[in-house]
Amino acid sequence: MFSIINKKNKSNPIIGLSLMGFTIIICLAFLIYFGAWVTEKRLEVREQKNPVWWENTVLWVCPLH
Amino acid sequence: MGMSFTLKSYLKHYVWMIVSIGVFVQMIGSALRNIFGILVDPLNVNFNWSVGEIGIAYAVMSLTSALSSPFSGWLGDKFGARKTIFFGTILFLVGMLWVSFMNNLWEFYLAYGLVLGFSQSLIGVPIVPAVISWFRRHVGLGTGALMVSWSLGPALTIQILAISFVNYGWRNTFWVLGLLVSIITFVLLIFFKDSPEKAGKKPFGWLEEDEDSKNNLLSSFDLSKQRLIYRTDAFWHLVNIHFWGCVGHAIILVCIIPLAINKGIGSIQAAGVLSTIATVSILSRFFFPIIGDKFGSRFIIFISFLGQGLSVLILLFTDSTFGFYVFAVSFGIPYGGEGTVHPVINRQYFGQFPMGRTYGWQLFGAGLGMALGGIIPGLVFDLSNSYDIAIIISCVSSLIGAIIVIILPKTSKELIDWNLSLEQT
Repeated sequence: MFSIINKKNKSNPIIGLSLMGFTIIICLAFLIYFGAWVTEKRLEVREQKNPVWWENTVLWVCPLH
Repeated sequence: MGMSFTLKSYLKHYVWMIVSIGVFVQMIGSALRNIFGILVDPLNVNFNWSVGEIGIAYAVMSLTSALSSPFSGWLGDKFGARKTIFFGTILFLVGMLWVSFMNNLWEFYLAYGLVLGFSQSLIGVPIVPAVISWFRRHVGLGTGALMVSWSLGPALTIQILAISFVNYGWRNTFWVLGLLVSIITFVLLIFFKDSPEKAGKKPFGWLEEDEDSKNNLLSSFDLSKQRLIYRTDAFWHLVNIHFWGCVGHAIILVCIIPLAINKGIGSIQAAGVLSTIATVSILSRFFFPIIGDKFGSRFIIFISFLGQGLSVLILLFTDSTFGFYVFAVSFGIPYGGEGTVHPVINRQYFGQFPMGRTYGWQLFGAGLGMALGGIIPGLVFDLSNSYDIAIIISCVSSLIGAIIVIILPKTSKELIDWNLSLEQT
């Protein structure tokens, strides 16, 4: 069955799926970093008082915050 | 050649009826998006909902539309575009009537976000592959003619909707528009045929030599062979490329007016920058698919991504009205060509195989990109009090897309030998 696809194009889309994985990782990293940045700012406004569970989680997940 | 290809025979071909219906149907999708911008203020005044609460409905709609696009493409391939669009139009009518009578925020999320979001993908996804199936050759011309509606839609609908909101109120506008557009669509669907073979006609650009080809009829394809497309790198690259391209331009489309005003440009001139982008992009939406069809679409997509990515850097350095209009022209041209060549490259890679699911997955990537790109400017501005980081993210996104375009396979040969595939079934 794999021979149906032209030889130049591999039957297993390793590069295509790898780059999709790269995109997903970049987007997750972006969302985590900016999410933590927003959370940090929210806490600054409230002078670090009463952080809720998701604020603690976002800050814990991001290695840069 | 058995057929004489005169200008008259070109113009009299039934394909132009199909293209015209396609243009109208595509404009419904753009109207649904554009109506949101002018809906924010009346909802804010009438119900006292915050702009953020109202904005969630737009995000829900974008995500619903994106996530349901592959399914809508599958429905189009399986049951035909006509039936799928018919079902989508019923949902459109339900959603529009519901919005016109709603009184609660959760109703708005359901009606506008879920119902109209799903109807948008049911209407917008299958129409493009169906129209393209009418073109045996000159698929770039068909794509260009169809894609112009992406720019014409906003240009025509925004003013009409805004006037109607002011004169008749948002509730009346919604139910009248929903009813009117649905009736027109139902009538147009009577004349719409999913493919030339269903209409008993030859596709546009048909030659006698095509009779010898085994894959000259859409019905000759086994839809389960879609898995061969999923096994190509190109399929995943195209979804990925569409995502990055949409992140790149969504950021700019969302922030260009506030950015210009923030830099001291008047609000009318700032709105003019957005209008200029829309107007200039009409040209590239029409011509880029034709150029891509003639000379290979990989290069034209690469140029579009590169141009889109580099042109936004102008925004980092300019604060004059002239500079913003230079940007609008330099950005508008590549922006118009960025997503519109995809149906052409699909044909070049995957031949005559029904394109619904392939295109649906590409719109899935595009929709997620638009959703992500749409939230970046506000987020970045709130954090840094500047749009500079958002502009840099837009530039990088488009350039990542350009790099992936480079590793796409050449378009000179189809990636799958469907004749061999058909023999094996």
